[in-house]
Amino acid sequence: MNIREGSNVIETRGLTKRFGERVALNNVDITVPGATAFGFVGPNGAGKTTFIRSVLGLTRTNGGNISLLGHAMPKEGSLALARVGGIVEEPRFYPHLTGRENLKIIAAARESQADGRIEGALERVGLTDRANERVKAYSTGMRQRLGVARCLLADPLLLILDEPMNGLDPAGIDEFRILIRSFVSEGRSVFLSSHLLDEVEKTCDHVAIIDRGNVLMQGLVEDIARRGKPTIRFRCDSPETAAQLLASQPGVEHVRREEDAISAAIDAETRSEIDAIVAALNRRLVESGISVYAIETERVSLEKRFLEITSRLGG
Amino acid sequence: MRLINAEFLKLRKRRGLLWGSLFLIVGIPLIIFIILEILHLVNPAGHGPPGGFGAFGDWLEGIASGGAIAAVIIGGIAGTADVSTGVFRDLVATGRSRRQLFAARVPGMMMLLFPMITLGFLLILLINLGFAGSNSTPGAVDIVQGYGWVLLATGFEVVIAMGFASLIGSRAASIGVLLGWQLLASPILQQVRALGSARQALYTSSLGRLNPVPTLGGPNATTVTRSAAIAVMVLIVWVVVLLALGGWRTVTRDA
Repeated sequence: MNIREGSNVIETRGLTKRFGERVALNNVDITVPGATAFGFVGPNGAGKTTFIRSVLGLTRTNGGNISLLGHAMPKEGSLALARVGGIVEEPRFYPHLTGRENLKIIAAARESQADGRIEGALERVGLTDRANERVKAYSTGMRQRLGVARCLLADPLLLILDEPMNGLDPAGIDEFRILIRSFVSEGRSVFLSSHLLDEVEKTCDHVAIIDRGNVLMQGLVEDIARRGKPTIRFRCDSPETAAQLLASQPGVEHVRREEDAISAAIDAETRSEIDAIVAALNRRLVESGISVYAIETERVSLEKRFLEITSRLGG
Repeated sequence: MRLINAEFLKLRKRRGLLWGSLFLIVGIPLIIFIILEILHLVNPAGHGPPGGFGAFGDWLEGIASGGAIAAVIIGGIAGTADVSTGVFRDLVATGRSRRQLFAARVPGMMMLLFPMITLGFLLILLINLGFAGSNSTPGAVDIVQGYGWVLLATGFEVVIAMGFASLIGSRAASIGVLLGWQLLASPILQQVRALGSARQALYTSSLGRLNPVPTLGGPNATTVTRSAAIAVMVLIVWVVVLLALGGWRTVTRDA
């Protein structure tokens, strides 16, 4: 059942989608490796849902190629989608039917084994006790879970979840994160679109950032967060003097003073350049009689990187 | 078959639709029967028995009319429910062909409608056989033909309603347009002599032409269609065109 290591579950090349004059997806190239949780982040209206709808064959595209589980979409859609579970936007159901009946409807559209997966799926998402209630009485969190149960009917190699954590309380988000990681540990792949960057950072291995229909960056979450200009924190005994001293040093973009430390934004990107500048700054501080207790690289969050990349950060 | 059962499940679990349709198909004839029987019992000279061969055609027309309204509502719901609830995209995302999803609606609707029509027909059969007084009663051929016709009429209505609703995508609009067409526009057009033989394209006229049992107004009193073959052709064209349009929209719409 597992996806072969090294194979990609989603690959798009030059994917383009227009709504009249507006370009919703502009030559989008995305590669989602197998057996990973892949975060797809972007502000509202960036093109996340349009991308998902295109990949699932729900809407026609204006150009480019889509490969889903190795099958060309939409031409081989029935083959690819048989092992894909997807939630697009918020999960929708027949409100007059119970949770179990809603699953029966979708199972009927899938292979015959799907009927036998209904109880297991309900149990997996913790809805067995409420499965005979009408969906119109379900909370947002229960609907999200039922949406995941519906995906599981496919025994999916790939789950595509569009903003699955919307409307969930912190406990629900935490449960969802655990659920997603459990899917990945089973060898399934999860493609997760979200604007909750902190959650993507905690949940996903890979990430792509999209804005205004363009993919700005993609790769491992750690790499993307680390990439770019670093901030180095010097803990020292005279932060005010140290701040004045370092502000004028070459390779320093700006300096921020803290209670017992200063943070210097370094104008370099490669490891060797950064190391050389940090060594020089340390030397300068020590030569000026300032005691340096510690030098730390500040952790850059995905959120900060996202804001930098999408030019949403002021200053 | 699983898809068809799923369609049936979606429809039969709508309590309002189920009870409303039963009221139209069984409830109204039952109420009319009770009134007629009371009138007959109170004043046998002024009011004849409600059953018998002479009244059979009217009972058939009645059940077909109530059934047609129910069929339009069932078809309107079946044609739009997936899209209006938003589940259509989830069905499409299973990889199942949109044509199959569309086609499954037809037998699914029949599974809901035909048992109710059968129940209604059994009721009018009971009335016509059991409460005929001294009148003659319908024979076996009349009964079989009458049952076949009422299934044809309501089955036709439900199919074109579903096709039309799938095409325009709005339940309220499709039900409103079809009921307006059937109850107002079509009878009026049928009376416009200037339209000549073009009136034979009206499906209400074709259904009237195929009614095997004479009504109180005389054989085929409400129809301008002269030939049974033309009537059948007209019905086939309506079904084919509306199913093709509804199917085309289902296949091409964004999910």
